[in-house]
Amino acid sequence: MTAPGSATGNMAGSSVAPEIRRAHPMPPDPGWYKRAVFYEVLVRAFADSNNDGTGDLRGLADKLDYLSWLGVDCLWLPPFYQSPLRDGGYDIADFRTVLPEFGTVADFVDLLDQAHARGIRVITDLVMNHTSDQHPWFQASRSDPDGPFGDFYVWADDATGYPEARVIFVDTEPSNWTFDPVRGQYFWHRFFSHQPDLNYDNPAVGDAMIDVMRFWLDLGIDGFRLDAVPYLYERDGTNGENLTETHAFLKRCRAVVDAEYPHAVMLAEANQWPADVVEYFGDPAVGGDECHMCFHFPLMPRIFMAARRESRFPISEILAQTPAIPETGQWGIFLRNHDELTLEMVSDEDRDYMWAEYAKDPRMKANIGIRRRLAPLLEGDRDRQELFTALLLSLPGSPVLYYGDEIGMGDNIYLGDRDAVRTPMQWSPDRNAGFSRVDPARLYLPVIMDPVYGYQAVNVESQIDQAASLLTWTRRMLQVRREHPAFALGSLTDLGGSNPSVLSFLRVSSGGDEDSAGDTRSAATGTYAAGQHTAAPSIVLCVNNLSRFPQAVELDLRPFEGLTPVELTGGNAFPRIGELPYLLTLPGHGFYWFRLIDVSGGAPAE
Amino acid sequence: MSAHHNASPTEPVSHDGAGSRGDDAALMAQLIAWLPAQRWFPGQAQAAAGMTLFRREPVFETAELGVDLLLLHAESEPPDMMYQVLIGWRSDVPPHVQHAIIGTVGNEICYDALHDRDVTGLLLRALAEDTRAGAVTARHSPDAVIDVDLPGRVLTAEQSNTSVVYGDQIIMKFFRRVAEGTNPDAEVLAALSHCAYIPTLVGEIRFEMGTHASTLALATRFLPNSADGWAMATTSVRDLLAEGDLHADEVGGDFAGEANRLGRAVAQVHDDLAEAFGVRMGTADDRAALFGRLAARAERLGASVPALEPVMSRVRETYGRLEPAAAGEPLEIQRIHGDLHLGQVLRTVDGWVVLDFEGEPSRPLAERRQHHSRLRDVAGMMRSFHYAAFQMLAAGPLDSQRSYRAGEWVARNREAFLDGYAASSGHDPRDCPALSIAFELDKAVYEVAYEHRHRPGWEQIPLAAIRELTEPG
Repeated sequence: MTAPGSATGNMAGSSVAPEIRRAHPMPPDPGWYKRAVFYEVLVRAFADSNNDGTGDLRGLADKLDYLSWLGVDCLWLPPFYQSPLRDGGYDIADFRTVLPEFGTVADFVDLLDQAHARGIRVITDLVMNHTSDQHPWFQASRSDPDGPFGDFYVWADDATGYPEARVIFVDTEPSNWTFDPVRGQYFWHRFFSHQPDLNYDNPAVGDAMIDVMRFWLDLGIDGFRLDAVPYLYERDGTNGENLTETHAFLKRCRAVVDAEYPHAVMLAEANQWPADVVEYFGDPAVGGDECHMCFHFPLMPRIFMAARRESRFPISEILAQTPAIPETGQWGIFLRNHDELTLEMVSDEDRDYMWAEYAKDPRMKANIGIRRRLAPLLEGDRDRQELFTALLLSLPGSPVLYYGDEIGMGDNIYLGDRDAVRTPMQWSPDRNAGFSRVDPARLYLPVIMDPVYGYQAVNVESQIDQAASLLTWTRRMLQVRREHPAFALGSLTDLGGSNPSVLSFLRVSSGGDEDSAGDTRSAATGTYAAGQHTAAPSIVLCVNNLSRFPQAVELDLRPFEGLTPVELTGGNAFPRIGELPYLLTLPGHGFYWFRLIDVSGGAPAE
Repeated sequence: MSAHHNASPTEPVSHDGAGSRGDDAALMAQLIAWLPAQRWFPGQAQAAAGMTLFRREPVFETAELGVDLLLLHAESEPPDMMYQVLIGWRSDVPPHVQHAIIGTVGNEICYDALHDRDVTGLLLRALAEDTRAGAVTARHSPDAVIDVDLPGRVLTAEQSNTSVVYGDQIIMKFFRRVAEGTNPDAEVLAALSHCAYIPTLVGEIRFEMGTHASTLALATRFLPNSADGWAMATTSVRDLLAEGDLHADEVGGDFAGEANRLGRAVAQVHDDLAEAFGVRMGTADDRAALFGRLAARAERLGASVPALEPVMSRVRETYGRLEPAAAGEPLEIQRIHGDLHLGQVLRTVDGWVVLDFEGEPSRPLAERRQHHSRLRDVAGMMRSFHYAAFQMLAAGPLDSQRSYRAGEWVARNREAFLDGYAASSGHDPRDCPALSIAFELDKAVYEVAYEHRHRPGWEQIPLAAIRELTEPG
């Protein structure tokens, strides 16, 4: 087997043709992803610059000022590559071409440049596990078994191999094997039958995929979200997930990134239990040598469950089960994304419960999840949206916002598959929600029009100047989070407490990396005296009432005796921490963020 | 440090002479004034006045402070029942102990020593080092790991004992009432050291003199992020009652999953108790004796509690009907918890943990360690579910709709608990309906008497249960 150099591009040196312009890189900022707020945006859904009914790269570039204003640090773009679009673009037909309706590679480089100029990074999806069946590699593999691509996919004479591997899309796929009449063999696919799995036992496949990574990193992107990484290899007698060989390949990718693109991030989608996911960060002895970031999947459904149960235990349990991660690692956490609310990582009992609670209409259920946006999942309850967002921004990990959730967009559960949560961004009460000037009938999906969540009620324009809107509130919270590095970098201590409805935790980071800009600003308002914290650790206390009823909680803060909790959104000092349990009362679904500081130096003499 | 090895444990022994810390009489005078204000002291000033000093045992002596163990005896109590007070002595009391001062005796100030971080530190170190000071012996469990630098602090919420928490790792409970003999909690925790559903024993501080031995304090692993079952259950009930139109299985706060896991935990603890302490099949005589005790208790309480009077004939009739029916049910007798309810279980991030195998502290030790049917514990939990649901309605006027919902909650969570119990142990309490009802009825009768004395407004909760349990047919 020889490497098919002609098809995978130039194997040595630059993978980008000289005529393609490259984006200006962001200034180096090691560990930026640990402090970043990510924003997942579908190119198709954000803004339509050429009025053809589909969002595009230029449209997204036009909206960068909005994203900069909101305060996001990094965009995550799901696939925008050439694709037959049978799986939202995750069925890639050409890794080096932009889907024509979204624009060109040059448009993408322009988007990168404009984003970088605003201090916003961009990562893109890379699907390593499989391709579309339309990809030239697969077409060559099925028609010429002895050719250079004959071994690029996993072929077999019968459909009996790897029986222990579960079928992921249980509602549409009867088996992980599908017969191909052209080649006369079965091919392996962990997802849809139009997405054949690549054969990583063939070294040329790994080479080709690393070359794809180089192509985009050379253009200037800031990293990848690696789709479906646990499934790269197959082995008899295993479930085909988390295999040693898969980890070895990720180490190989990381070595390339570290050597050639040291400021790029690898973010893994590994929908597994935390104890398994942590393996994807790699060897802790060297600070991690696989992915920089992994999504924390089980946390999200637990947040929903905790609020419905009015009990902190669903969250506390999963936090207690989450192991430490290597030095260079960071979790990615989210409330909602473009997929359904995933219930793979909850027990059967809890899954039934979540279905019953959050998907009362059967149409709301996709294969093993719930296809709803945050606001309608929370019945439009502003208090709960704020509480959930506060949890997202304060629990350990870099938060990933989903486009539209910052204004409380709704969903359309009558759309097929997962399109319910992929409708056009609602910019204004104008035609097509300001997303496009096209004839509404030509939109890729209809805009939301119901009286509660429709674009005339819920849109950026009506919220951006309203001091009390969800949008301006979200922006303010992102600011507060940025001012206090403990949110991003701090350790976590779950404080427990006798009231099971209240989740209280500490985030503590060492003082050395303290960002003083925020404190200067707060001090300037005269609300409290900061400034003597240079050597002290940054201590943030978060108290969350998961119940709809007002609650009191007594916290044991004696290790912090003498410090003063200062509320972070308003800067008001609360009573000093003494010997006795610290009593706080919270309104229903209320929360507090405090910084614990020593104000004795700045307080007037008694 | 003086040890009185030859002293008889039944005779009061006095501290040697009156030094800079005054004599015993002066000390007792201060204590008698101080005791009635302590939460753990059940009596009033009159009871305190009758206290005598049974023993004063020096425990620690450092450059800054001294600590004595005092065992006090109340004249109304059985001869082997003592109150424990650890007092500290300092000539200069630091600010953090000011609030615990008892008074000045001789030239020194004496104070409640458990409020002194320096003293709690000495106690932890004594446990880690298996120290013996006179008749006071500290001993840690074989595989216990103790970080002696952990700061100790007194918990403030406790009623009948006093506990010190070290960091978030160890809790040391000082029994305020000390009885001679084996402490049931210490005994069970040591015997079930492999059980995941009870706290891990770290060590024990005992008073040992001749043949006299009693447990002063018990140290276990602290369960930092936990909430008790009562708080968990009432959270669920609160959620249900706020809905009105939704059933117990439809609301977000549904407790059935927790109740099921709790049933499994209790069943495992029962199985482990049976394995550790043995189990035997009760005879017809045991059954007769059991029903005799239940009926006698009902008669005794019925005679003194007016609210019980109207239901007494139905209670008698029900016991009379249950006894022959119970003849067909196996009566297995083993060590049990003895006082099991939702307040005795903790939800931790690893699941449920059963606490406090002490039994009823006011009862004699031998009685607290007696073997019984495990159905008695199950009945206690069933009654606790009923309380958790109906206590929220006790304050308001009768509301049939909310009562109906509360009843649904009880039925759903009882079944979930019993399902979990049966799935774990293979013993389904529902296979023994006569014994189960008899134990629940006994508990409910006791509860009416208790509420009569302490919370008359809640009498109706157990009375409603009695009416239900004695429903003819």
